[in-house]
Amino acid sequence: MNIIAAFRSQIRPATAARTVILAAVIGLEALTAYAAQSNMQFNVVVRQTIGDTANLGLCRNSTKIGSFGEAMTVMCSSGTTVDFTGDTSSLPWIATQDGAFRFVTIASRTGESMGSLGSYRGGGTVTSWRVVNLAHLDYLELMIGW
Amino acid sequence: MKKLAASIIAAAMFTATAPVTHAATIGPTNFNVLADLTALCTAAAIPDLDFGVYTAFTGASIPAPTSAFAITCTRGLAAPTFAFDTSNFGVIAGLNYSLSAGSALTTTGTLATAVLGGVGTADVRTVTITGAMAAGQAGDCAGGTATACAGVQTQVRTLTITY
Repeated sequence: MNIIAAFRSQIRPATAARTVILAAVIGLEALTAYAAQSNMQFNVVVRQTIGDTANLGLCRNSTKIGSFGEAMTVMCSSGTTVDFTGDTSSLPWIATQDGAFRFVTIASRTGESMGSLGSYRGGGTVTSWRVVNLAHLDYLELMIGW
Repeated sequence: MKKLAASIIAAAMFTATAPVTHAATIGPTNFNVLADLTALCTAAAIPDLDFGVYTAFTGASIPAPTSAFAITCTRGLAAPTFAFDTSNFGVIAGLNYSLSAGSALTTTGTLATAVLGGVGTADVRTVTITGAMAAGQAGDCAGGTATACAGVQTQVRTLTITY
């Protein structure tokens, strides 16, 4: 005869039912109480880059554009000023969509080519253009974003 | 003489039958076997969650890294739940990231059996922590110059496993 059987033999059925319900409730609470936890630490790692490596940098965009032609000044968040004259392959940073550049190419005058003064080829999207008429020269100016 | 012989024979018969008459067992009697099991999950160290190289205004070389490890649990436990310290988000080097965790039962333990050496085995779960770091963030250079803040940045986080 086990302990539960002995216990039941000494109490009335109604009391036994209440006892079983109480035991069930206590059992549920016990399950909650025994939920265990483990704390474990781990590292989150990231590496920042600096702006002096080709194609990697902190420069975001150009804050100054040359007044004319191909010269442009770029201010980096590092405080370094970078100048270049049109060759984007030498840029020490990734040109972003905020960048802009002014390209100039010769149109014509009285049907004659005026040569390749200020000409430049580069990838990008034309965002605006205009024809400039000077006393001795007409030319097409394109604003390129990339 | 006749009486003596009869007595000897009677005594011999009584002796022969006595053991059969007196063989007996006690019970069967029940008894209780008791055990109090403390269920546990154990785990090895969690590998680093590595976002790789983050280029400002561009993105991380590993924008959604994972860190997986195994936990060994008492057989039959329900799938554990996971929580991170403070929140599911964080900032490292001025870069916002988020964390999530889940698990999958990779090996179901075997039941113990009532034979010599019939020890059961544990359930094994693979827990995977996944990070996410959005592109286009500027970051924060604590060193003041790009050179000073470059390099590996490490942040310790805590995963709480409830089972």
